Amino acid sequence: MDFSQFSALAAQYAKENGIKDYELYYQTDSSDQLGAFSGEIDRMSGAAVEGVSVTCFVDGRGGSASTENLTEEEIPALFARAAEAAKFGAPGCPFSGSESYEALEDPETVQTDTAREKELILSAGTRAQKLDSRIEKGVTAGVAVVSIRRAIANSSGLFLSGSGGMTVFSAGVVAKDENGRRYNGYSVQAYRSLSEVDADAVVRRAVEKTVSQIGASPVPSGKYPVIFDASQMTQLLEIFSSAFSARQVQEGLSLLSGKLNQPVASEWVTLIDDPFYPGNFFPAAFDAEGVRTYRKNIVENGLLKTYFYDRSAAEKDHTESTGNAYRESYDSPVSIAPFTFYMKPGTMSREELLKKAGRAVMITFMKGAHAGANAVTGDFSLESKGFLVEDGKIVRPVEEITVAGNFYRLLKDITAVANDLEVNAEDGMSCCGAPTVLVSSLAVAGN
Amino acid sequence: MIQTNILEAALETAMSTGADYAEIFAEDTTSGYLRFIGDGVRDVLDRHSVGVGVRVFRGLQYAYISSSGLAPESVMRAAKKAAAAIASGQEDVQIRLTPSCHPDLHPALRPGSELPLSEKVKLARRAYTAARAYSSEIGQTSVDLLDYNRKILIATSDGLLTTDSQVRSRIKISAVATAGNENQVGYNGPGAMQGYEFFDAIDVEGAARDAARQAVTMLHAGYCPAGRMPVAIDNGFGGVIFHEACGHSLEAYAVSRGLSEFAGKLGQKVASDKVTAIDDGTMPGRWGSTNIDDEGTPTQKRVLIENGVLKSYMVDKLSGWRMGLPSTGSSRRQDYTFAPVSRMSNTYIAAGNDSDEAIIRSIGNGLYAKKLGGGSVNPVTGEFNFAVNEGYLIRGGEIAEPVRGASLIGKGSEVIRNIDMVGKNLRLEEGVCGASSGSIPTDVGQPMIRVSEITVGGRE
Repeated sequence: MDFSQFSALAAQYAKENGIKDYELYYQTDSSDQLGAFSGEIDRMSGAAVEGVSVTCFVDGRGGSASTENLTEEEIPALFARAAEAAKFGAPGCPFSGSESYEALEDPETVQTDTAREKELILSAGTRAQKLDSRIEKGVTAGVAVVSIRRAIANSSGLFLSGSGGMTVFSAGVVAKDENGRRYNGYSVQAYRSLSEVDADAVVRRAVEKTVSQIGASPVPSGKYPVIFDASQMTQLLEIFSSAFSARQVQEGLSLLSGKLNQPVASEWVTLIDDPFYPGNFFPAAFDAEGVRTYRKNIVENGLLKTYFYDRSAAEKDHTESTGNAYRESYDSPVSIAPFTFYMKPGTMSREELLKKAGRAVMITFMKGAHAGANAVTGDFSLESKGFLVEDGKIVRPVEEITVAGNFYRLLKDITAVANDLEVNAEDGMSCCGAPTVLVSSLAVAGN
Repeated sequence: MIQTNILEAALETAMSTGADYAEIFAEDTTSGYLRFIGDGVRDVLDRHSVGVGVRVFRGLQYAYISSSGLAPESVMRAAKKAAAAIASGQEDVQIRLTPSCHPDLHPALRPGSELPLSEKVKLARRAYTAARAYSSEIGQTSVDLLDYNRKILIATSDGLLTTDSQVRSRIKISAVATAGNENQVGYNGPGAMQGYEFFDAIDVEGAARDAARQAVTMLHAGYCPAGRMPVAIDNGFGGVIFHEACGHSLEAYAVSRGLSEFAGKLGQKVASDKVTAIDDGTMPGRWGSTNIDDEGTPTQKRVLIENGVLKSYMVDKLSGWRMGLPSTGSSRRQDYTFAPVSRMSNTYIAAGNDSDEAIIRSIGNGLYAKKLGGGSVNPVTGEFNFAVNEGYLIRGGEIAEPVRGASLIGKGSEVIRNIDMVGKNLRLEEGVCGASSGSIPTDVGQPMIRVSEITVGGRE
């Protein structure tokens, strides 16, 4: 049964049983994937998941229960479980809606073209091997067509729905050097639709990333100026974005507490959150609580202008929600997250930034952030790869190093921002972006 | 969950276009989540996840179609779509399913899903209070309570029909110590393949106080040194070094594609003599255990490495076909939306003969890694990392002052040869492992070990 039918039945049940305040949150995710390995299709998958979460508000407290069984029989238990949870839940009430919402066009229905998809992933191996003879046969390639629709209906008469979709193309290659040592690299890019996929560019990037690492070795341990290329500064922003959440601040889990309108970053840094960023294929006119969304500066030339708020965090700080309530899935708790959170690009080119750095370690790869970085402390120590830069030029590849520091300090130590903004749109509705940046000093562990 | 005649009809449909093998995985899971922070309940969730996944193999190709709900029409629709995806002909196949039973090694007495919320809130508050009371420097504590009651059914074109019930419980305690403009974090997350009786058997307050102790200790610690040095890694979660440096690279999914540095090395010496490593999915009540894997094969205890010699990979059915090896009961998935692949269960380095004192004494100057965090690996090159959450310098063979965490990095095949002392006191600890078939509960473990040289990603 579809959500409008289900919500009508739920409304009827609520009315008959004297349930006054409730909200339904619905999400359906569908994804179709094709994968190739060594020039042969080896996996085909399709997933269609839908679920609904009911939040009941009893005596000013909310509790949630969810199900993937959208049947009439499931409704009584769903309300009963949510009402039980509400006895212990956090304060809350249903939302009657914002005055207005950004008018977004529904995206076109995604057309699948399996023949074209197969052609793209099957030819990835030969494309890669043509670019560089050191690429081995076992090339992996994949294409995924993803779409998400979400909707909110509540007892205050609010009904909102929105959707988005993208096609993601990825390629992974392995190269072998003359001594038999193996290197591998991976590239992924999201597009609005299959017809926009530039398989050549993705494969080329995977090959370049991989072969440029051939012959890499560590640098001596010490303090270095560090360049984070756009993809890696994006990753740092993603890891530490929760530091800007008002709830984290209120709960003592962010060191940005009490810093509004104060400098938290160098003057080169402006951080923007945009729910309608053109390169994000899941634009959102409303957040996970039904509040209207808008574009805003979080940090402006180094000054902290606002935190991200949902309704309950805003109430605590006697301010308005910024429309940043977020649910990863219908059965996730409401958290706070940005939409497209990115660092405003500067004016200098990447080459000019390297020149300004002189001698530096440039980081093009970091791994293990789920364990090696912590947004509560700001500390990070991450396995990294990249290049040694001397006299403003890349002189050799570097591997088996870590780069370590503290994010709060790093923001203040950014001395240059390039103009090459990249956004990791493949992450979906909540994603990040940044250009290449120069940080004056960080600890590098090598040999 | 689904009637046998519907399963048979769906399997026949799935096989109708020339598949070599078809499998239906159905799941009905209830799970509870409670987050307690700042002396109150922040979130309460009660989830019901229901769905089915149909997988077919043809040669080394597979198709996997999943959808929510267990209605007969959605099972048939998934079977049809899977058959269409690999279509290569037409075949009439008759499937007769025979129910297969297995002993329940992990009976649960009090599943969290059947308990009143009031009991859970009381438990969370006990942990919260104990952590806060440890020190006035503890500025915040969060307690997450998780319970799972996972019922699965697997039916295959071989005629196998089997079910399992998997009940898990876990408490995750995170304490934050604050001074001025600095935060440090301590953490413990005990869990088990058991009901709430698990929490009666462990010292919940002790785990909370220990999380607080870590946070306060780290608040007053300096930074870890950077560079290559000898490291003593303590037992329990220290086993994450084997999980990352070696375990993932022994999973058949990577090995069968030649994408592991341990491919083609069965029977060869890959580690130091001191290393014997085991993956055991049968350990009663352990977090990473199950009676059967997610392809319906009973789990096993497997010696992976014996005195340094590679003895076995962890194998699922499809990778096993690629390699000509039988399944080792290692095929796992987060839920019905994921096709399963070979994964670890409870994986550990077995006890050796060295005393902890001898290990520390043997290290003139180095690092003692007492509490470890998670990590990751690139199986192709073996490059791995994992985090030290609580460390101490070793000076002149003695444990000296605490130092803040850092990552340890290296290459698996090299580091596994550098494990040159292995202690006696084996202990396992619980974690969550993420890979292509989703996030699954696993245990890591070891006694204290010495790594003669590894790169420490410190800041001094």
